[in-house]
Amino acid sequence: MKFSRRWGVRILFAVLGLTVIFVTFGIFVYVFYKGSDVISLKFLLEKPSGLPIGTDGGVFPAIIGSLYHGLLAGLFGSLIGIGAALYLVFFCRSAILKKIVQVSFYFLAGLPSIIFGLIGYTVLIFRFGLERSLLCASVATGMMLIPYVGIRAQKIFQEEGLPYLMESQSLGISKAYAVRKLILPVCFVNLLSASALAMAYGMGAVAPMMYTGAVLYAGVPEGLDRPFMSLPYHLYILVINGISVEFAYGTAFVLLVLILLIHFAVRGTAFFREGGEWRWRRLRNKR
Amino acid sequence: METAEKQALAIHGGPFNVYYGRKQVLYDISLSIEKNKITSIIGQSGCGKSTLLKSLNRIIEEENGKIDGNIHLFGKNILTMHKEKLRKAIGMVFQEPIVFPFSIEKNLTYGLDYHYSFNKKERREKVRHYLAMSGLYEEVKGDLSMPATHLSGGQKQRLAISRALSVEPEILLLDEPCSALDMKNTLLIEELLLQLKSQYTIVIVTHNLAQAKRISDHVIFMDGGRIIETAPKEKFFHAPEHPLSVQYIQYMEKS
Amino acid sequence: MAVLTMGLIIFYLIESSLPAFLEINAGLFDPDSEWRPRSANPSYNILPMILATLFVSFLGVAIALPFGIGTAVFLNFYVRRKIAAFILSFIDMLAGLPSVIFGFLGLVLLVRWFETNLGMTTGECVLAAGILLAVMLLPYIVSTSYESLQKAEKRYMYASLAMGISKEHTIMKVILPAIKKGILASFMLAYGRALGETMAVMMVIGNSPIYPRLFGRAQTIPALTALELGSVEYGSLHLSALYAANVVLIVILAIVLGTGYFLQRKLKKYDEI
Repeated sequence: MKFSRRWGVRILFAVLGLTVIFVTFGIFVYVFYKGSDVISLKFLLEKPSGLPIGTDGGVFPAIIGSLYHGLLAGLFGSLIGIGAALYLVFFCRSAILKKIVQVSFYFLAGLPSIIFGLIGYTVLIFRFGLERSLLCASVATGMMLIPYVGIRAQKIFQEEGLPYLMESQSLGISKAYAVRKLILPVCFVNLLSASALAMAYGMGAVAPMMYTGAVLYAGVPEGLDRPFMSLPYHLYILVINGISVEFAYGTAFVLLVLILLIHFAVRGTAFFREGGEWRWRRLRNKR
Repeated sequence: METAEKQALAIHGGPFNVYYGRKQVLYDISLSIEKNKITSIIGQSGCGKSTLLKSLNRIIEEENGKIDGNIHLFGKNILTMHKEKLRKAIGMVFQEPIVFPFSIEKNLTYGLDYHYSFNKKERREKVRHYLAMSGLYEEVKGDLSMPATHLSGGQKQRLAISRALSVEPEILLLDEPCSALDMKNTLLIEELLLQLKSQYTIVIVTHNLAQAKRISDHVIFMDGGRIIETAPKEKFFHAPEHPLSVQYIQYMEKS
Repeated sequence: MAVLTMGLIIFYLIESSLPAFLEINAGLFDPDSEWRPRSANPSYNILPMILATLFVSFLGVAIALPFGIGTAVFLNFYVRRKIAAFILSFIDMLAGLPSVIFGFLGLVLLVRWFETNLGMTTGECVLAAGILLAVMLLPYIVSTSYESLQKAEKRYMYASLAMGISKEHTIMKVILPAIKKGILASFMLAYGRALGETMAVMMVIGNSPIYPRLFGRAQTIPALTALELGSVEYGSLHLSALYAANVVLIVILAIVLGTGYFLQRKLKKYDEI
C-alpha cells in the first residue's frame, strides 16, 4: 500500500480516537474541577436556603433523599427482576411463557424512562389518588429497573446456576431446595452487584420521579409517604430555572461521586472474587 | 557450508531464539529447509511447532513475539527484510480454514490487487489459474460470485491455499491444514501438496504422524521448544536417533 | 410480575390513548395544524414531535458511529492492550452517568458555545441535542464495535498479513467490511436508545413544538411528555394526546429495537461477526 494512504488511515483513526478520549476525560475532569470549588462541609451538610431557594446552603436532604430513593427503587426492581429471572431460568417449563417473559423484559428495557413517569403519574397519583411521595417515585423508578436487573440476573443464573443445578439434581435433590441452598448463595454477590448498579441507575433517572415524588424543597424524608429531594432533580431545577449554575456544578459533582462510588464498589467486589487483571486495572485506574 | 549448497536451501536459519515478552518459547533453533521438498514439523501439542512456523514469516511479531538470531531466505536475512515483501514470498495457510467474507473471486483478487495491477482479463485468468491449482475451479466455476463463506470446510481450505498462492510465494507454510477436515478432504489436500511440490517449497506442521509419513521428504521433530531431530523421512521413521524421537514414534503408532 | 408490569403498561397506554385516537383522529397527524393543546380551540398535531424525535436521534447516531468505530479501531489496533483497557473502562463509565448531568453540561458548554461562536440568540437547537446524544451513545457504540473488531481481528488479520498485506489495508478492506452487519445491529439498538432519551435532549433542544431544522429549536416526544405532564388534567384530551404520542413512539421503538435484536440473533446463529 502506498505510504501516504497508510498514514492517512492511521491518522484518521488516531484523530477519531483521540477526540473521543479527550471528550471522555474532559467530561470527568470538567465536572470534578468545577464542582470541587463549590464543595464544602456546609454544602454537603446543610439544607438548601436563600432566595430563590437553592442559591445558598447545601444539598444534604437531596443526598439522603437520593439514597433512600435509590435503595427503595433498587429493592423493588431487584426483587421482581430477580424473581422473574429465577422463574424463567429454573422453573418455567412452557416455551411460550418463557418467550413472553423474555419479550416483556426486552420490551420494558426498550421503553423510554419518561414512560415510567407518565404511567406512574397517571396511575399512582391520579387514579389511586396518592400524594407525591418517596414510595410512588420508588415504585415508578423500580418498574424501570425490573428489566435492568432481570436481564442481568437471567445471565447470571444461566452461567453460574444451571451447571450446579444439574449436579445437584443428579444427587436427587429437589429443585426448590437446590435453588434456596445452592444457587442463590452462589450467585448472591453477582446479584447484589447487579442490584447495586440498578440502584445507581435509578438514582440518576429524573424522568420517572419528577412528577411522582421529587420536589423542589423538602427536608430529609421522614416516611415513605412524604415527598423528597433528589440530587438529579435538584440539579435539573437549578439549571433549567437558572437559579445557580455554581451550585449546579456542586450538585453534579456530588451526584457523580455517589454514582461512581457504587460503580467502584461493584467492580471492587468483582476484583476480589475474580482477580482478573483487566478488571483490576479498571478498578485501580479509576481512582 | 558451501555457498552453492546454501543456494539450494530455501530457508537456512539459526541459531535463533524466540520470545514472547520475557518468556522464551523457542530455544537455539537451527534449521535448513530444502527447495522443492516437503518438510514436516512434528511433535506434541505445545512443543513449539506452530511458533516455529510463525517465526519464519515473522507473523509472530504481530503477537508481540520477538526473534533473536538470524534466519535466511534464499540467502537474505528475513529479519531485516520488509515484512510485506517477506510475507509475499512466504505464503501461509492456517489450521482453521479462513476465507474472507467476500465472494470466491474477491478472495483471490484481494491479494492480487494489492501486489499487482492486472487488467480485467488478466485478473479473471489469474483467478481461474489459481483456483485450478487447488482443484477448486471445477467445483465452483459456475458461480465465482458466491460468498466464500458458503463453501464446505474442505473447499474453504483449498480456497485458502489458492489465495496464498495468488501472491506468488516461493514457500508455502501450512499450520495443521487438515486438522479441521474429514479424511476425504485431508487426502485431497495431501495430493494437492504433492503436486505443488515441483513449484514450491512446502513446510507443514502436523500432529498426524501418518500424514507426515505419507507426504514429507524431511522431518523436523520438536519437543519443549527445541528441535530434537532433523532427518530425511525414511531415516526418521526407521532409524530415529534420539531417544525422545523413538519414544514419540512408538507412542503415536500405538495410539 | 415482569409480564404483569408489561401487561399493565400496555393496557394503560392503549386505554389512555384511545380517546385521543378516537376523538382527534387524523388531527394528530395533520400537517396543517399545530400542537396547541391549551388554546380555546385546541389542536393536537404530534407530527413535528415525531419527526424531531426521529431526526435528532438519527443525528446523534450518525455522529456517534464514525467516532465510536474510529475509537474502537484506534484502541484495538494501535494502542497497547492494557492502556486500551484503561481507556475503555473510562468510556464505559460515561454510560453510567445520569442523563441530567449530560443535559447540564450540554447546556453550559455546547449551547453556550453555539451562542458565542455562531452568533445565535439561543444556542438551544437540534444540532446541540444531536451532538449531546452522540456523546451519550459513544460508550455503547465503542464497546460493541470493539468486541466485533476483536473477533474479526482474530479471524482474519493473520491470514491477510501472511499474504504480505499491510495492517491498514486489512482494516479497511477486510475487518471493517466483515463487521458491517454487526454495526448495523448496533446502529439500530443505539438508535432505539436515542429515541427514548428524555432529560438530556429536553435540556438543550429548546422545546418548541415545531418542525425540526438543524439550527432551530424543536421538541421530542419524551421531552414533550416530561414538560407538559405536570400541567395536564386527569381525563383530559391533552393527557390522552400525550399518551397517543408515546404510543406512536413505542411502536417506532418496537420496530427499531426489534430489528436490532433480530439482526443480532441472526448473526449469533450463523457465527458471523
